[in-house]
Amino acid sequence: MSPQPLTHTPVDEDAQDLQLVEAIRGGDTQAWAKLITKHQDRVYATCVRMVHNRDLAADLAQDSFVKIIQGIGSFDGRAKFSTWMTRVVMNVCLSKLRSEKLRRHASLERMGQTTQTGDSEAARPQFEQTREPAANAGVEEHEDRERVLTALRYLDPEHRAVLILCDCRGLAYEQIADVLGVAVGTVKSRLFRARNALREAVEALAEGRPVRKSEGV
Amino acid sequence: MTQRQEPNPEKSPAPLNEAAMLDWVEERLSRIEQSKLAAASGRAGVAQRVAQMQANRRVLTNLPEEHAPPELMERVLAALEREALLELAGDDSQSGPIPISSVPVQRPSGLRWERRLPGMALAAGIALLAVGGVYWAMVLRSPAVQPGPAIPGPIAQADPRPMGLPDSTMTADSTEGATAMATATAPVADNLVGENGVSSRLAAAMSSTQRSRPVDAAEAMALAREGRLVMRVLARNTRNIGQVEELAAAKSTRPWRLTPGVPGEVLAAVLPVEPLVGPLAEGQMDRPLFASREPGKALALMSGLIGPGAAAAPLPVAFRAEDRVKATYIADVSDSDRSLDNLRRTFAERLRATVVFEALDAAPMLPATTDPDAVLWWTQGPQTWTGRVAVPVVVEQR
Repeated sequence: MSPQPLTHTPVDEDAQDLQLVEAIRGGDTQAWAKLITKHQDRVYATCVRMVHNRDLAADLAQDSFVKIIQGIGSFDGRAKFSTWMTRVVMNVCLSKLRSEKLRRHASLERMGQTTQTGDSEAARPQFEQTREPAANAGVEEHEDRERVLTALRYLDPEHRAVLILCDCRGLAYEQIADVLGVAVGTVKSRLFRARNALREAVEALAEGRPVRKSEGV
Repeated sequence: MTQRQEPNPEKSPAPLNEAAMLDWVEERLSRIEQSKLAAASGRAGVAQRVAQMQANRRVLTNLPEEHAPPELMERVLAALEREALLELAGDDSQSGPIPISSVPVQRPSGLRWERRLPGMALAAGIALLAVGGVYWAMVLRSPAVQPGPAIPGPIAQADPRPMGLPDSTMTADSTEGATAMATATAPVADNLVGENGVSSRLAAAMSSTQRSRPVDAAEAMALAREGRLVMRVLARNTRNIGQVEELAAAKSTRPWRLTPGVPGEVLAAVLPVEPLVGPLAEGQMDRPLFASREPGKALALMSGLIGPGAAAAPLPVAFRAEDRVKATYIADVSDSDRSLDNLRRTFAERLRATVVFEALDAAPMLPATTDPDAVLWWTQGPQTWTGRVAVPVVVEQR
């Protein structure tokens, strides 16, 4: 039996979100702070995984919360509030990534060349350089994590989004479909292709080859 | 796949069931299902690839938690406040991406030329003061103190008729004399050139064909401004001339002042040259009938009048008018018709005279005024700071 993915927000948690939403709609300014406090880590983490830059992730998280609070009147309650909020966050991140796609590819190519030469230090993602390895993580695990995160940056934003929503956030396919605004079948197909692309990128980085766009399995 | 298989044109592998493969990657298939799926894929190394995907998935699943920076809350609230202010200002911020940070652009108010108005006003004021100063300097420096043209004034023949002389009808006896005189005009004129200015200027006046003409009061002021006006006072009795001088000398608000004397060239310009025609009338011998003031020259000129044949001798062109001139002044008058009229009326009333204005063709050279009040004009009251003109005044007894 495959473990059930972390897909569902506890009922009480969703109920709390709805109460905060109602309070915000009623003009309770303190509810804003509660809402931000409750979800800021999750929002920030999503942004970090998407852009691999903490400073940029903080800006995107700020923008996301502003959009969430300003657009909270448009939340109709058909989906969970967390799902709706994640949609806003992903839209902000995807918009940013699309706008910087060309520039990011140029920098990644340079990182790929340096990786070929064996300069692992330069190939590290920016944010990884500022973080220390987890206390219990082995060196090998640390290297694997670095390689995966580096490879993740070579993926298209859509592939990156599905992987983060599925693997990092633990959302179900239906929730991912709601967030991205696509069908569930599209989510599955895109997710498999994203995994395959990530695999190829990790393999290329391990072998010192230039990372190419994902091809068929 | 590490080893790519060349596509077999006879037996191409079936397309992967991506959903099933996804289930395999996410460990939702049993081992049997996995084996069937691997065999159905027709590709070698599928299992290894799936294993790699699974490993990557575990890495992503086990990433450490990320904590938001502590200032994120404040940043969000500050951004919300900015958006609220923008909305109050009418900015539709929701139509576009929310900027991370925005600073309202403060534009300078008003048009560019409005900001320069104070400087322009100051410059205009300074320019106005400068122009005004130049204007008043030019106006107050009346033509009387400025050197005029060096040429002598023309002969003023206001009255073509010789004054005090019989009619200039030529008699038969005087015809020859007149002819001789006419032909001798030039040599006589040359002989009159002497040291004193009067003689030379008289010669110039004799040779000049310019004439003055009477003018009315309306034209008089304009001529005065040009320095071409002269006032002739024709009085039967000039003994009251002292009263006029006293009036002029009194410290008052009278708009004119008198400086005694005018140069000889002025007299030559304003008084008619009266050629003697015919014999001298009786009683005229004792008069200075010649222009020269020097006794020697006068005697030489008189020689033709003495002795036999005196009538045939060329007679000098007599400048007779000097004997009837009783007083001459340079009147420093305020530049206004009223002031000029006041000057005229004063002479007319005090001397019971006929005052006429005459125009000269050219402005004579007049001496600078010696009146301290005129020189130190700025020490007087502002009511006196007006333009002034110089008008020669010739008081004649008729």
